[in-house]
Amino acid sequence: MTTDVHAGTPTSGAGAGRSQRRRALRRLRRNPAGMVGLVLVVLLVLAAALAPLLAPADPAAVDFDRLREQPSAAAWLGTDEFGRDQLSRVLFGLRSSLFVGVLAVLLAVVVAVPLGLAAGYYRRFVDPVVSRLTDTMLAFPFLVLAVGLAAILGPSLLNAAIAIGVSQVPNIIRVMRGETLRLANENYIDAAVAGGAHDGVILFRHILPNSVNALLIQVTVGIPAAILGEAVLSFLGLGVQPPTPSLGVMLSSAQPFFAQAPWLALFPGLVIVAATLAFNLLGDGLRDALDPKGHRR
Amino acid sequence: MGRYLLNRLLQSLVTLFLVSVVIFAGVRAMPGDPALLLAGDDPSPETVAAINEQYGFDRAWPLQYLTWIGQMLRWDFGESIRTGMPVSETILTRLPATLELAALSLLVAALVGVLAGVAAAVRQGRPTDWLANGVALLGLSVPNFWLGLMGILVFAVALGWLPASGYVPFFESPAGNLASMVMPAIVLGTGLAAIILRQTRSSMIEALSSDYVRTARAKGMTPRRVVAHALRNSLITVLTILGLQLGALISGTVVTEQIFVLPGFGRLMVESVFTRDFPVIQATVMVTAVGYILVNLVVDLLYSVVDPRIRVQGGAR
Repeated sequence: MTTDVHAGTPTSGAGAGRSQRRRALRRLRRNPAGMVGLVLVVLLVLAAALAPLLAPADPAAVDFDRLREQPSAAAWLGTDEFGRDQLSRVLFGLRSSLFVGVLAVLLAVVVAVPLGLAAGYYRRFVDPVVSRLTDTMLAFPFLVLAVGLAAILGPSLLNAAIAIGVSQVPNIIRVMRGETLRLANENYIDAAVAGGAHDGVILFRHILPNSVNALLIQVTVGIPAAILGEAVLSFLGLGVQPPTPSLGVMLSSAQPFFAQAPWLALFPGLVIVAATLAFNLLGDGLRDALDPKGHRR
Repeated sequence: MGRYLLNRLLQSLVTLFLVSVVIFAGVRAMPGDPALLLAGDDPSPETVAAINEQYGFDRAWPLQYLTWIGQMLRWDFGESIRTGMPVSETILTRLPATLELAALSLLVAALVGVLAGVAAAVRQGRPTDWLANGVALLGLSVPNFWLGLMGILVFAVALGWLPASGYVPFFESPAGNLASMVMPAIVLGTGLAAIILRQTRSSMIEALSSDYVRTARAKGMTPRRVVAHALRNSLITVLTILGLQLGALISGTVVTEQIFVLPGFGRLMVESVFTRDFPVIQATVMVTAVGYILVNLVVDLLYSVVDPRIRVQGGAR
């Protein structure tokens, strides 16, 4: 019986969403900055995924005859303080940076989406509890949280991702809560309630699919922030641990020599800028495409 | 106003309580016996027992918690394991550099962000706007610590105009203080300036197309005064951003201090993690969280003074 009700609610679910999404895609394709971002993101992800094939050398191969060599035909981006090929390390570093970034945002989404939905739907009892929870999380600025977690769990790639993810939870909760508040008043939700759908179905089958746009925008804001976060944490020694290459680790180990070998700090930094810029461009484009009336923030 | 104020204060108190519980539990979840850490190398069982007694580690957790809160209320954070100094004193010596850094970078960010944001909005869709947007996007994407490294490379190593690191207290030498803070303040202010620029631009565009601006133009107000008119209403956004970005600002001071070797609060925090100096970790994290909650409370109250509609809605965020 309930399935009939769902099939009969046209604005909910996939039907209308798909054509809306097609229109959004068209708008994105007409947005040059957004398309540049998209192409860059695809290229960077490909470079990271194919790092083992693209890298000219083993990123861990130490060569004490070639310490801190300048960029040349043999080593396009030079070599580091252990004679390791810098281009290979940048490629593998990008891999771990993107991995931490995406993992962190994924963690945040998994934790925050149910909380946001519940806070927006159960306004009397769940909302105040979740609100205090987010306030508490916000009172620990990202780096402070990361410092605390590193103190308790020890610094590592996974713990960096957890710290970054936790710091993004409040934002996603807020977005999902707002969307739920907005959508809970729609007629099709009333129809679903009248049809006897239980709360889980309403939240995850009706409200969640209809707030995907807002969530997607938040995710594209979150990924570059997470990439920057990983870089900072690893730079401070609280994230990815050497010898695993990550862009932050490379900058950190470049710091002592960087008056003599500035290229060691230059290239990993430029790749971080490129990655965050790419996601930011794509995010701006998506926001304009998915939410044409909304303001750019 | 009274009810809103009370409500908001109550919320902050609950948050403070939760924060203190999280920190208390977090420190107890740290690996290693704190008494052993305090006792130093190869302690006798008697020493460990004495330390447990002195710090109350052998007492029940609720009691330990209350003792801890009581001590903090008297501005007593115990002693650093590494230096043996009272943590409260160390914090006070480390705060000035951090507060100065935060204030200066806020100033840089607000000045650059608002001016460029207004310029972009007034010349919407023209080269100035494109340039401002491009620079803002770049500012958002550049990691501030890398910007700092590049700044040191150019202005300290290559040109020798500014010191690469170190801190000169203001009262020792105002000029030296300024020279040591110029780069850190700009580096930390860049990301914030980009955010303020984008927000100022969009709210200025909105304000410039509103009815009251059209009226002002119609009655012959000069373009310059029209902009000033619209700007007043857009400035609230700067206040909002301050509240929203405070966490990022605090995180930023930690990194910036690390790069420019400023003897600030953030460096103290990072150092304490590496030396496992848990009284210092506990105190610095707590002070930061309390500072965050207080500043946000003040921002919210200021906000409700500037924009009375907030009070009417009961401060729903």
